[in-house]
Parts: sequence; structure tokens; C-alpha cells
Amino acid sequence: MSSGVQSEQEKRALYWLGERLIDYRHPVSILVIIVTALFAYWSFQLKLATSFGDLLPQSHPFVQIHNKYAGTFGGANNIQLMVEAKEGDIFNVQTLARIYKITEAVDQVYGVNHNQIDSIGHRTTRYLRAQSGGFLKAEPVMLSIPKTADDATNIKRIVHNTESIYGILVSLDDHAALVRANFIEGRLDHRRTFGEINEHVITPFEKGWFGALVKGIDPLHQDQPAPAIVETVYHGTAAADAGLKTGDEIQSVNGKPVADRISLADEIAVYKPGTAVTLGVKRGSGVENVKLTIPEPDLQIYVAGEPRLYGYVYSYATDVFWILTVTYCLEWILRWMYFHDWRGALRPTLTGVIAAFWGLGFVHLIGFTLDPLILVMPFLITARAVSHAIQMHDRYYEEFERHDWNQRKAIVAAFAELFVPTLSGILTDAFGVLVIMLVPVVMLRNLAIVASWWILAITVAELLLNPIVYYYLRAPDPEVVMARDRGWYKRTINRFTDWNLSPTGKIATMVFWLGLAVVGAFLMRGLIVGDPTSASPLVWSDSPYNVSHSHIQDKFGGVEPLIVVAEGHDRDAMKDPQVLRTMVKFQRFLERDPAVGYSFSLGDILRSVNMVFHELEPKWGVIPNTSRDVGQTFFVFFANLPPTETSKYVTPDYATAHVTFFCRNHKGENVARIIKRCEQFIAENPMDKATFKLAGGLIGVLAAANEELVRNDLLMNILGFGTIYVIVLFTYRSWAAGIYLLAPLVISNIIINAAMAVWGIGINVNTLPLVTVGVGFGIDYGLYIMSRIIEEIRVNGDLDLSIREALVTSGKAVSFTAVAMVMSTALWTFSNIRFDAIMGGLLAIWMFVSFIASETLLPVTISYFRPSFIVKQAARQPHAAEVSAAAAVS
Amino acid sequence: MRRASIPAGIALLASTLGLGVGCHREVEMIPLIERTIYITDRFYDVQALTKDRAFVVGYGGKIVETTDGGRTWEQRPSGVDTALYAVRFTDDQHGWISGQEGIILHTADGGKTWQQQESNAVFVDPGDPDQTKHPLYLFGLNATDNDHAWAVGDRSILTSTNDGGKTWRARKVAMEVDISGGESLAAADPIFYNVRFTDPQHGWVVGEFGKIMYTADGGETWKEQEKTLMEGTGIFDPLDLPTMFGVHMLNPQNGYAVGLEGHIAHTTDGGQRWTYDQQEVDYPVADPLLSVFQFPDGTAWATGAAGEVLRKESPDAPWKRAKLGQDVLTWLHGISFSDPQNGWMVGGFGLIYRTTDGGNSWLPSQG
Repeated sequence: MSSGVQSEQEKRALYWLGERLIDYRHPVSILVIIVTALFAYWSFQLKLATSFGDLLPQSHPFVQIHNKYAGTFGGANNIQLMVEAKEGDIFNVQTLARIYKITEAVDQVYGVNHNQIDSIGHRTTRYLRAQSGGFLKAEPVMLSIPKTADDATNIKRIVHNTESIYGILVSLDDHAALVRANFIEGRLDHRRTFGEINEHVITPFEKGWFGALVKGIDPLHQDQPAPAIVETVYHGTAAADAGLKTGDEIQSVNGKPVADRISLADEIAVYKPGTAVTLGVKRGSGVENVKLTIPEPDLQIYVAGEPRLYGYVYSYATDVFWILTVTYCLEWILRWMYFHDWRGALRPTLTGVIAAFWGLGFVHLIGFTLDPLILVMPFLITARAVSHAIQMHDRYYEEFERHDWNQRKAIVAAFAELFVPTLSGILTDAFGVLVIMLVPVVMLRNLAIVASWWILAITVAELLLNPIVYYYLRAPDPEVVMARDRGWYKRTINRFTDWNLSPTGKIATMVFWLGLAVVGAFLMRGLIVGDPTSASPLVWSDSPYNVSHSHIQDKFGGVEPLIVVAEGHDRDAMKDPQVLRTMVKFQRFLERDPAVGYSFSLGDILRSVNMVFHELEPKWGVIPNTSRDVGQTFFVFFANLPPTETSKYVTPDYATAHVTFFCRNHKGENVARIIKRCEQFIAENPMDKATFKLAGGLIGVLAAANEELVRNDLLMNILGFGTIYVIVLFTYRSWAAGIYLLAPLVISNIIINAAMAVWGIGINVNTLPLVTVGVGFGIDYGLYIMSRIIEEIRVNGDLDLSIREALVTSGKAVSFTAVAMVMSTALWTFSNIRFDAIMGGLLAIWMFVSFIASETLLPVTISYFRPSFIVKQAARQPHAAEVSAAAAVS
Repeated sequence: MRRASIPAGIALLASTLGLGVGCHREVEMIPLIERTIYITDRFYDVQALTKDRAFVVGYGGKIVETTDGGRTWEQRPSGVDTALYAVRFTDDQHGWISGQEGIILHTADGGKTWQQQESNAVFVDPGDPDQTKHPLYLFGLNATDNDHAWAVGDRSILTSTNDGGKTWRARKVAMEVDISGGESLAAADPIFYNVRFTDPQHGWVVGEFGKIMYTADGGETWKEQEKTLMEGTGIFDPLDLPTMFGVHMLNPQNGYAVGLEGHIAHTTDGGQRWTYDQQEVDYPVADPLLSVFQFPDGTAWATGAAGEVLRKESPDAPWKRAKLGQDVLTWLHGISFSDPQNGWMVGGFGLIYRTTDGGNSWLPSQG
């Protein structure tokens, strides 16, 4: 027997190789164990992290503009935190004090750029104040924590009279305030940020609030204990009702000691509103018990923005661990049910684990980190490894029976016969995935290299180690081996194969797949690049993140920044009235796009300052006529501010400033349209002294990423299929073989793309790797079946008989692998991370479709068209290979 | 058949592949929102011509007209993109608009088309060797008939026409005495914010440093009237008088001026004596009042920053905060009534309010 169209010499060589592997089993296995141990060590060093820069196509002009100005004008990693009063407006002492403290807490979160915080409670948010003697001074809206009702009224007046604040940092209905903070890209630590915001920013002022300000940790003495000492008690609050006083040290809640402000808030937040708790309060020298009724929270805090989103994704990462565990257990159970044998159940896992160590260790070795969003990818590769292993295992049992229960002969035969389909399956995957490297995104390129290596590593376990492992293992009982050929599973496969190969079955199969392809091709026209939904597609639409996101959108109209830089040709270009007016005109133009909420530019500040400078007369709220007047107005506002505070609006030499548009969402189509509109406006409105440059902010970099994906999509598809075709060409030495094998794949691809279009999953940096890897998904199913048909036809010379034989042997193993994998992949749909869930679901469908297509369409087309590269094998001398192989063995 | 199947298969594969990759749609350019009035609009002035017809002007060269009581608005082309500050029609066909950069626009076809007129309102820095002419803001405008109109603005500029706008003569209005005392250059040429003539001879201009200027000869010579306001206020330096932004003269005797910190000044003797009016408010009006409007029966309205609207319900009643029926938080500038029942207020954030019941209730007009 022989598989593929190898020459006798090649086949002999494979049998010889199998024998030698068993002879030299000790050195080979020791070597593999040492290397695997090394990789295992490295893989435990691996970190789960997302490097934002790696997700961007660094060569794209948008990203270069983004990188150039992200440090000054603000990047793509903003959080928006909305403080909403449940009843009434925010202009009361208690709420304003909390906004002030919340801003302070945000400022202390790790990685926040201290000069890029916008909030009415932050020092960089200023308004103009007339001082006696006609002098004007730009002062922070809140110099210190507001204490009296007059302070609150005054702040309200300032807010309503400052156009750069009203509607932007305070909602037009006065019910909500916004705190915007930008993160330094190099210091993004999503898990830490997530935790700190929850503990320090949200809980103490929302659920953990009981009406009193509690002293925090002294920033200068962070290592010293900072007991929860009451600073201020507000009137009419639970704290006031409980009789808490300034200076009280709260030591415990219901007997549970609290060390500081944070643990006090955490403890308070545990209780339901209306519950009475007993606080242990130290007053003077004694400790008293104070009854506190937990109040209904009067504020709601919502947080949105990329760092927050990733924070949630990381917090769900434990899901992934559980899903993997359950998946593996399920796999073991299924395999045990199939093989009735613990070897069969566990041995494929060995292949998966070794490959995983080699892959993960390699990830660490090249200095890359794992993004939790692409954890499905390793899972997918492991699935491939296991799938190959099951084929081998099943074949081993088959050969064991055929070779009269001679273990060594069976091992060598299984190894030699499956060597070609296994290797070409692995190679198509490994090279197919390298196609991703076409996209100039660091993360995707790293991923391509890693995935390719990882897939290649399957060869180590599957081809190098496998015969040795089988040799070490006790041979299975003949009873166990024979049991595989009985039972309902085998009977179902037999029955289905017979129907499928009957004339009716053939026609039904062809019509079915053709119809599916047409419907799929029609539906997939809805597939889009970028994110198709307004909420984040990474998490479910009712997840806390998306709920916050939509609340903030409702109140403030948009939170996702698009930064267009007005790059001056010379210093002071930003004092030119034409430039400033064009900026404002740009704002008014783009704000009319339904996806743009509001915008902000230096022109807004200028107009606001000019108006305040002239005693609040709105008629002065315009861009002045001359650059001299513009310069004077800027001088009034910026003169006594440090450059770190002004640089978020304009560079210190007034050469360059920006227009920031806050968009309602980042749907792919909206991003593309907004960018197109920007380009249109810029072309129609040239400025003498400056040029608009696209584009920073989240929308800008997403636009860049989407453009790169579209640009390379066609090429990737062609290369992806091309790679498979070429490898198949060499495997079977036939031009036609590739077409027969690719047809099921193309149809699966069409159906998956259609499913993505229907379910609203766009192609983006996250989905692309999976979709591209999926191009070759299921090629191994086809390879195993086709190789087996060729093997069989050489023995019996009859095509239809050979097809039937291939389907009930290799096809049966394929069907089991596929069913097991589909079931376990489907488990991912339980993930809290919508992305993982959807991807799991998609991959399950993908595997299922390409499995069914390989099992039905492939044999039917072969039977119908009778390709010559298979049929001519019938003429060959049967048993020749077996004879020569036997000679080689002895 | 076997041979033919290969090219056929390739063709099939290529076409499905083509379908697969060619699926990305062109960017669909869903249209921009087309509205007449946006939340980013700022309206500085309004004039009610009839019960249903009104003109509103504002930022970005915007002129809008309604002919159906505010149900719909139509934008009229102004040909400019800088701010338009004041509008004044003398009959249903003829009107003027003044704006930023010394702009004067004129219509003779009821506001359908507007032609720019040369206002000559420019400033030349005496020290500038190039003698560059800088256009000046024209914040206020008034006209008494189709021939006579006046516009005032920055640096005490006054420009006027008596030939229907064919020629505008601009000049800086000199202060009676140099009150600046060398203290500040600005005091020598205070900003004028508003102008009001009751007939082609008698008119008033108000502005910075509490200036209330009066002319009885069509604007040739001017007298200052604001000094009476210092009596009993403890203010001794005229420079400390609050800036006046709005003036409205019912007739040559009776009128109002409003300004900083909620000040409302009143005269009943043609300005020989101005006094501050009493206000009956639960907390003082701290924000500037920007415009004022008085009816022949002595009732009056004043609008200002931070949504302040004050109302005088009878000639003897004190000013009180008007009840608008909703929270208005932004500034309101222009106010105009076509008759005692029907009137308009306009302001920031594209706000246009209309009343049809003499100001007891105001409803926003969205356009």
C-alpha cells in the first residue's frame, strides 16, 4: 500500500525512518523532552498583555501623525468617566466635592497623563476671571474642594458661561459631569488600571458613599498607615444622621476592621441600601459604636474608553481558563467513548501539550505577549494538533489489527502511511498563516510567526515522537481495537456513506452545496471591515462596559476621539484668523455627520476667552479679525499657565493645534465615511498658513488599521488559497487535486463570511488572524480522505469502492475529530467576552461546514468527475509497496 | 468530460474566490444632517416684522427667516461667514444687517438677497507705517426709515447713511472730555454696543464704561448722559460705571439701557437723568443683561447671560425674573415683539423662543 503518489523509494524511506525512530527512541525522546522542558519554562514566563502600538499599522500616515502628537494633544487611550446625579443637578456641595475628589483619584491612577485630564475638578480646566483693576486671570474652575452653597452656585455660573465647559464637561441638562483622562501609551496596564478605577474612583463615591469625606492616603507618605478619618460630614446624609463628626476614626464595619478609606468604602458597598450597620468609631480616646443606615447611592458613575474595555476583557480572562479546562475534560471523555481506551483518550493531548509548550515558549522567546482577545488562536492550533493525533491513533489501531497484532509493524505502517497527509496538512496551515504578515501591523506579524512556528511544532510530537510513544505504551487489547468497528457510530457512518454515494445522494449533495454557496455568496456581501456595531463588539451589548458607554454617549453625544492636526507651516500659524475660522468651519461641517457628536478646537477656546475677556458679551464670542487680536486674546488666557497645561490645545510656539471630534461609535462604515468627509473638506478648504493632517485618536488609528486590512485583504485571500494549492500540487503531483480539495474550503469560507455578515462581525485586527487561519481550516480532513482513496484504489482498482472504503476508515476518524472539536469549540460561546464567544461559535461552524463538505462534496465530486490523477493509480501493481516495505523491515 | 472538468473547476473556484474577496462595499456616504438651525448656532439679534414673520441673524454669516410663526425657517444667503450682530428692517422690503469686520448688508427685496455696502468702519493704527486698515466690529445697528441708518461698534466707531446706504460715513465719536486721565487707552475710545434712534435726529448710543451718548442732530454731535447714574451709588470714577450692552428708546423721552451685573437704567426725560431701576428678585442678577425692549404701555423685557430674563409687568411694577416655563441656561441676546402678544427671543446654542401670549409662555422653535 502507499499513500499519495510517492515513488516506492520514498515509501521505503518512510518505513525505514519509522524503524530507526523506534531503534533510537531513547536519545530522540530525551532530546525532545529537554527541548520541550526548555520551551515549557519559557512559556511559564509569558505575560498576558496588550501593547497598543503593536495593534497599529505603524507605516500608515495616520498612525505616524498619531504617534507624533499623541503625547501632547492626547492619544487613543482615553477614559471617560461620567458622574451622574440620580436626582437634581450636580451643583450642590456634596456632589461637586465628590467630582473634585473623583478627579483627584483619576489623576492618581497609574499611567494617567497628569496634564491631559479634563474635568471641572481639575486644575487645567480654567475660566477667565476679572480681577479688581480690570485684570483678567485664567483660574481653575475649582481651586479647592467646594465648601459652601455659594461655592456651588458660583461654579454653576462659571460652567454656564464658559462654552468650552458647558455641554462638554458638564451635560446641557446639568445632571452629569464628565472626567476625561488620557493614558501614556507606554504605561498602559489594563488590569491595574481597571482595579484602581474600581477601588479608588468608583466605589468610594458611588456605592461606598455614606455622606462623609474620608481622609485618604497622604501621597507623600504612602507607606504609612492611613486610618479612615472623617474629614467632612455633609448635611442631610446618612453620615450626618448617624452623628458622625469630623475627626472620627472609623475602625470597623459590623465588627470587621477597616484599615483605610478604600477598605471602608469596599465594606460599605457590600451592604444593601437601607441596611443598618454598626461602625466602630474612635473618638478621642474611646471607641464608640455608631449606627449607620446604608444610603441609596445618589450618584451613578459610568466609565468608558479603550483602557476600560480592555480592563473588562482582562477581568474576564479567567473565563478562558475555565473554558479550556472544561474543553479538555470534554475532549477526553469523547475520545474515551470513541476509543474505549485511556491511551486514545490521552495520547492526542500529549501532541497538543508539546506543541503548545513549543509555541508559547517561542512567544516569550521572541519577546511577544499574549493578548487575551486572541486566546482562541492557540486553542485553534491545539485543536489542529489533536485532530492530527486522532487520525494517527485511529490508523495505528487499524494497522495493529491488519498486521496481526504486531505492535512494531503497526506503528511503522501508521507512521509511514500518514506521514504525507499529516505533513502536508501541517505545512499548508503553517505557510497559510504566514500570509497574515502582509498586513503591516506588528501584532499580526508576530502572531503570524508564532502561529506558523507553533503549527510546525506539531510535527515534533506527531511525526518524531509519536512512534516512540506508541512503542513505550503497552499495545491495546485486540478487543478494544475491534470494538471501534462495531457500534452505532460506525453503523451510522456506513449508512450515510452508502446514501451519499448513491445516485440520488450524489445529486442531492451537489445541489445542496451549490445552493449553500450561492446563498452564502449573496449574504456575505454585507461583510464589512471594522466594527459593525456602535457598542464595543468585544463584549456583550448588555455588559457593564457597553451599558456605561451608551449612557455617556446619550448624555454627551460622543466619546471616541478623532484628532485632526492643523500643522502650521511656521510659528504663530495658529494665530491666523483664516486658519482658526477654517478649523471652526471644519467642526460645523463634520458635526453634521450623524456619527459625530461634538467637537473641540483651539477656536472654541479662543471664542470663549474672547467673550469672557469682553465682559461676557456674546457678540465677542468670535474669531477676531486680525492675528494681532488673536495673539492678544491667547496671551490673556495662556500667559501665566505652564506649557504643560497649554500644550493640550496648541504647541508652545503656536505652530500647531488640533480639532478633536468626539464620535458616537467606531462602526467600520462610519469611520471610513468620516475620514472620507474629512479628506473632502480638507481638499475644498486649503489654508495659507497650515495644513490639516489626518488623523490621531481612536478613530484615526482605526481608520488606518481598516484601510490596511482592506488593502491587503484580496492579496491575503489569493495567497492563502494559493499556498494550499501549491502544497497540494506537490503532494499529489496533480493540477486538479488542488481544485477538488479547495472547493469545500471555498464554500466553508463563503459560509463563514456570510455568517459574519449576518451576525454583524466585522473584519478587524482581532478577527483577521482567525479568519485567515480558517482559510486552510479543514484541508487536513480532505487530505486524509483523498490519500486514503488513492491508497485503496491501488489495492482494489475500483474508484467507488475506494471512496467508500476511505470514508468509513479515514472519514470516520475525521468525523469523530470534527464532531469532538465542534462540541468543545462551541463551549467558547459561554464566554463573557463576546469576541471569544462569537469566534468560538464561528470556528465551530467553520469546522463543521468544512468537515461536512470534505465528507460529502469531496467524495461526490471525485466520484462524479473521476479525476485522472486518482483513477490512473488503479493500474498500479497492488501490494508492491507492502512487499518492498516488508523487505525494508526485515 | 474529465479533461473539461479541470478548466471548469478552475473557473468555478475563481468566481467564488472573486465573490469572496470582492465583497467589500464602497463607503456609503449617508447624507449630512441638513437643518436650518443647529445647536452650534449663536443668534445675536431678532426682529419681528409681523405676527408670523421674523428675521434672526447670528454667527457664521447666518440669516434665517420665518413666515409662519417659527414653524419653519429658511436660510437667506448673506455672502459672508463672519458674525452678523444686528438686523433692522424699516418696512417689509428694506433692511440692514451689521456684523464683524465692518460688514453692512442691505436688502431691498424683503430679505431674499443681501448686498454688501461699504461701511468704511476701519481702524488705522497711528503708529503703523503701512497705514493698514483694520475692519471694525459693528455690534449695533438702527434705522428709522429707508434712508437713515446708523451702526456702531469697536473703538467708538459710528457709521451712518442718509441716502439709503449708497454712502456710509464713518467716524470715531469723540468723548466729551478725556476721562481716561492717561490710565488706559481703552477709555479714550470705548466700545459701542448698541444704538437707537427715535427719529432721524434723536438717538442714543451705549457702550463700555457705562457710556450713554445722546445726539439731537442725527449723530453729528454727542453728549454724555451717564454721569447722573453715579449719584448715590458710591461710584466716583466714571470708569467704574458698568458697561451698557443694550438700549431701547420708546420715544425721545422714555427709554431703557441695560448692562453688566444686571443693571437696568431708566430715563423719562430724554436722558437728562438716568436712574437704576429696582428689581424684585430672590437673589441678585449677577450676569450681564444684553438687550431690552419696552412697550408703549410701559411694560418691558430684558434678556441676558446665563438665561436671565427680567420682566416689568406694569409701568410701576418692579423688574422681576420672568417665568419661561423651562430652564434656559445659555445667554439670550435679541428680543423683539411685533405686537404685545407675539414676540421672539434668540440666543446661544441655536435657541429661538417664541411667545404668542404676551410672554406668559415661551416655546422653542426648532426650525
